[in-house]
Amino acid sequence: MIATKAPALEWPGRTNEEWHRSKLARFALDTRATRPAAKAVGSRVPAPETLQADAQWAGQLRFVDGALTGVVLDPALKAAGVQLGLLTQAPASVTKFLTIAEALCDTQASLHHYQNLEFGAVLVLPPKVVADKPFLIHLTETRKEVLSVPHFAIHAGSLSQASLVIRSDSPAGTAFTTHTATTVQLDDGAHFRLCDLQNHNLSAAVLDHSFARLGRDAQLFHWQACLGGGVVKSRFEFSLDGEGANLKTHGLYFGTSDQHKDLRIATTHRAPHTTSYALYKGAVRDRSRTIFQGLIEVAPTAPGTDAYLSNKNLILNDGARADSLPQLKIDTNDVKCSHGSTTGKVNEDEVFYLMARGFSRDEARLIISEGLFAELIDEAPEALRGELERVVEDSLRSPASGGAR
Amino acid sequence: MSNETIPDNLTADNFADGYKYGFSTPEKSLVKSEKGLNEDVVRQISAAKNEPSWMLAYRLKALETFYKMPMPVWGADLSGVDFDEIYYYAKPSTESVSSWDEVPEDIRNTYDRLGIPEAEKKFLAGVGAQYDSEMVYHNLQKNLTDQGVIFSSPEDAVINHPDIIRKFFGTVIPHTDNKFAALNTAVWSGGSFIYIPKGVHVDIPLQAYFRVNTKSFGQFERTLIVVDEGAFVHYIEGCTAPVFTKDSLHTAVVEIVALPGARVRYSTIQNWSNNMYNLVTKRAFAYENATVEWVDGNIGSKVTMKYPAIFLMGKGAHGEVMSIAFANKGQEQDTGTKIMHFADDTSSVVTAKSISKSGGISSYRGIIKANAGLRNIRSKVECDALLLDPSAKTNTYPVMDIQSDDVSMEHEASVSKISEEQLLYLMSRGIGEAEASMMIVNGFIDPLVKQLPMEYAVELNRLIELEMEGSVG
Repeated sequence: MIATKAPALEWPGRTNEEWHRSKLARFALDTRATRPAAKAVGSRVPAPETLQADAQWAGQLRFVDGALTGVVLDPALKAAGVQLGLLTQAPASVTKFLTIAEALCDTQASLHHYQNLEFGAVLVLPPKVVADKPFLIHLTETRKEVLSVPHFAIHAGSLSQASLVIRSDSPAGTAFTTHTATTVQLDDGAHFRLCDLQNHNLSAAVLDHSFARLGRDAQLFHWQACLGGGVVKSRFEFSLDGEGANLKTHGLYFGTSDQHKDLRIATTHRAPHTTSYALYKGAVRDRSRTIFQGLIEVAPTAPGTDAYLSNKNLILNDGARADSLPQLKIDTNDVKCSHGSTTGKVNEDEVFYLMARGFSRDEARLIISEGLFAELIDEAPEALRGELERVVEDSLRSPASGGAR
Repeated sequence: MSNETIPDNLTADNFADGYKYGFSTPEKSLVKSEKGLNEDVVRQISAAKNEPSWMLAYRLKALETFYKMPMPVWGADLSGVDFDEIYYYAKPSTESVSSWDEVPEDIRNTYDRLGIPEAEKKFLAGVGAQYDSEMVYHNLQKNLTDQGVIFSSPEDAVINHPDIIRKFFGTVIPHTDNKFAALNTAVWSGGSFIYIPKGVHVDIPLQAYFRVNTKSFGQFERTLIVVDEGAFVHYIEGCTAPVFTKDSLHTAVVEIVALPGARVRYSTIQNWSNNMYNLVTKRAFAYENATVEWVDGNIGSKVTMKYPAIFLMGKGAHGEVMSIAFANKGQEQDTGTKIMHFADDTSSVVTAKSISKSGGISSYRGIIKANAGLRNIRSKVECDALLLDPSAKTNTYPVMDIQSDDVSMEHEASVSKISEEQLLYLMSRGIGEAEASMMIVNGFIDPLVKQLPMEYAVELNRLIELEMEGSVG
């Protein structure tokens, strides 16, 4: 239905630096396939129920196993022309952008999403519409051994303002692969906040290749928490195409037990006076491994660029592994670009300070580690903060005192 | 400084005219192998050096490895390297001599124009000057010889000190390491061999001057430095080459072994002419409480791929790399550092600076690795890039791979142009724009220049000045 028939590309080979640290075979793309819900139940798809309007959200979509099960949208926003619904109902502007994003796929590992596209959601904001409360798209996957391929398409018209939370989860023990992608199109002067909370179970394989394009004076704040998944490989490409575009990205990621997470963000400044600020923090424990790749690229057409990227990793026990690969690729001279990366353990002086005030060693370590992530959690949508604080605490607890997850 | 005021008059052609060391003397080689590489060439090189059979066997094994290994698929563009268009061995007309007067006149003229004898008189303990592939000049102050210091060509060492060579040669950089290390191992010729006995502190830097003089002739020098327990040496290598129209290849291998408590400093300023592919493998092993320092300047060449490495093998070992790269028009300086922490209480510091102009590309490519189970590892990396005009390019590709929880790892990189504020400050005090820019650039590279002996610091500043010519209006 919405899957495209583009000719296959090469899979990332041994020489592909981006895939160098993650094994494609772990995503079981050759054995797992999409299983359309409609065919399984018969030709009739049950109509999604109308969810209760909620004081917290401007509108909600609820997906279970690839099927839309619930929907609600603030009537005032609906009247203003806001569209929140299935990807199949996407307007021409969105489908056109999808073909652009598809054409940007450089390997089969990205194109695979478009060829197997199963279901998705679209959020369209007409020009100048301002939504005070965030939208929510919530996905749950319970099917075992399937390939789940959702796509989220966002188009914010000029001078519109809104925010969206996409959260995904799955019950423990459900082994499946999900190949997701989000495309964000911000017209001139649009302000958008996108918050991605991925909390799949530890048997899930999560693959993602997202793309955002920012027009003139557009502002995007991308906030990401990569919490779940047994193996995760994600890439988010940000293209600052319009003069004065501003990008802020925040990410936090945790590795526990045997988790393998390979996150890449790539920001390309293509227009004058564009700015980007990236802050990514991770913590690893047990036998987990995280890889952070962060590229700032400045085209010759982008004088006056100001870009900064910071990556901080906390290693909680020996044998856990954190790779950090910040990168700069600068093709003009009128720029201010820098990056910083630190990897280390909890500061022993700080632990000593807290222990002298009566905290146990484990408590002291936990308090200090939580402090490291506080600045990220403070920037998360209010509705998620309490939950995030609990998750962070679980993930940071030293293995000896026993994590909850 | 507006972009329009920067003339781009330093083209490859007039740069060649202005190249300080761009002169050449007519070729006078006695033995010159055929163009291209095959087993006969390797046998010919080995025979010309009267090598023992074990070295020939090792060369042949490396040749096989060279054929089998693929070209690197990352880094700079190496499509211009044609292994069949290169002479792999040329031996100049003279054997090694120990006094300056015995060096033939045309070769001496070349050195005179580089200022070697004065430098030697004033600063240097010994000169191992390489003209084409063999050492033609050799001198070492007598007191060092008396202390048991060995400073010779590797060929001499193979004959006279086979015990040390067999123990260390190819152990730091095995021929299987990469395609170019394999090539060097198969056809190596010339270079330096240094052995510093236990506890000996060599106060004056040892220096070897390398030059490439034969057209289309790849220079494959091989250097092995073994510094025994508690000893110290500072080795300096400078490279300049005359300008030729055909692309040349320089593939060196430098191995350093710093035994427990030893300290080695290796300084080099590379100023190859702008048609040279400079593909070098340099690595040091630092054992318990040993210190290894690389000071590395890359000014010339068409393409340089060079990543001085330090493997911290023993407890308390320390490694330091300070580097500067200047990428002018048509040049690609792909340099960096590899530091492997293999033991507890090891530390490393990397300071990398680069300057790009007129479309030149400078890249930093580095890796810092700390294995699981190690305690108290510290590492700090700082990369700064300065871009002199809008067409200049710079890339930074560091990798931090940390598997231990007792590590403090910091990496910082920044890219900028010459600051308008600093320029304005200097110009408002009556300093011209060109001079002010030069002062700022000098300040940028100063932390590195300070690490060099005086005459090298002067030379580096002069070279940068030359490269900077015409960059401001």
